[in-house]
Amino acid sequence: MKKDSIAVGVVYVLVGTVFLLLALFTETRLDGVFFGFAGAGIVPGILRIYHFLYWSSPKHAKEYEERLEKQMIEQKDEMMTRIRDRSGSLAYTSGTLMISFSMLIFCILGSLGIIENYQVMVYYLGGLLAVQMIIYFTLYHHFLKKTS
Amino acid sequence: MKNRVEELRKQLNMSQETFAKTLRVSRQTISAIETGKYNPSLDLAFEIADFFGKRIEEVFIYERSSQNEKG
Repeated sequence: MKKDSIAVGVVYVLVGTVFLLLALFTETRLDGVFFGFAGAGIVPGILRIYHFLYWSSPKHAKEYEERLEKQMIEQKDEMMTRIRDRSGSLAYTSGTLMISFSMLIFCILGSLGIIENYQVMVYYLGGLLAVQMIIYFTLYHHFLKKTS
Repeated sequence: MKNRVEELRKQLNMSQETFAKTLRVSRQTISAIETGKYNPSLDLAFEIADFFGKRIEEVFIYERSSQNEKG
């Protein structure tokens, strides 16, 4: 296993710990965010360090080699790639529909007076939808150009 | 697409796992090809045919659909 993997794990834990200390010893409205970053740093960092120590031990070396080979094969396997592409495409379509539907719901709820400041949500979701569409069309034309 | 991949593989007493490793694809891909659920790319189809020492049309049986035959 690559040695920088343990270094990355240690960095994650250190950064997470800094955020944890900030959350515990400061009084700000961002405490929730700090706790979130702390968890996002410490837990994956510890897992990364544990995985490095586990897979680096000589008794797991052969198993690790086989696992790595299997991972590399599956990453490049054409059927798996096709399945991932198809899943991504369907997820993108579902996401677009959900964003559009959410915009409609916020508009209705705001217009009926059930929620306040609904415009912020609608503009944010609209912006997200627009950026998504721009990225999609840009990539589509880029890949189409490559084939001609 | 119908094919003789399973038949030819078994003639060599080879498991799907070993066959997949030799071709550097997943075992699931080999299984899907053999059951006709997945049509391999041209590259992979030629690799499979070369592995068995056969021509591609001896391994994969292309059946023209009636839609393809319309002018």
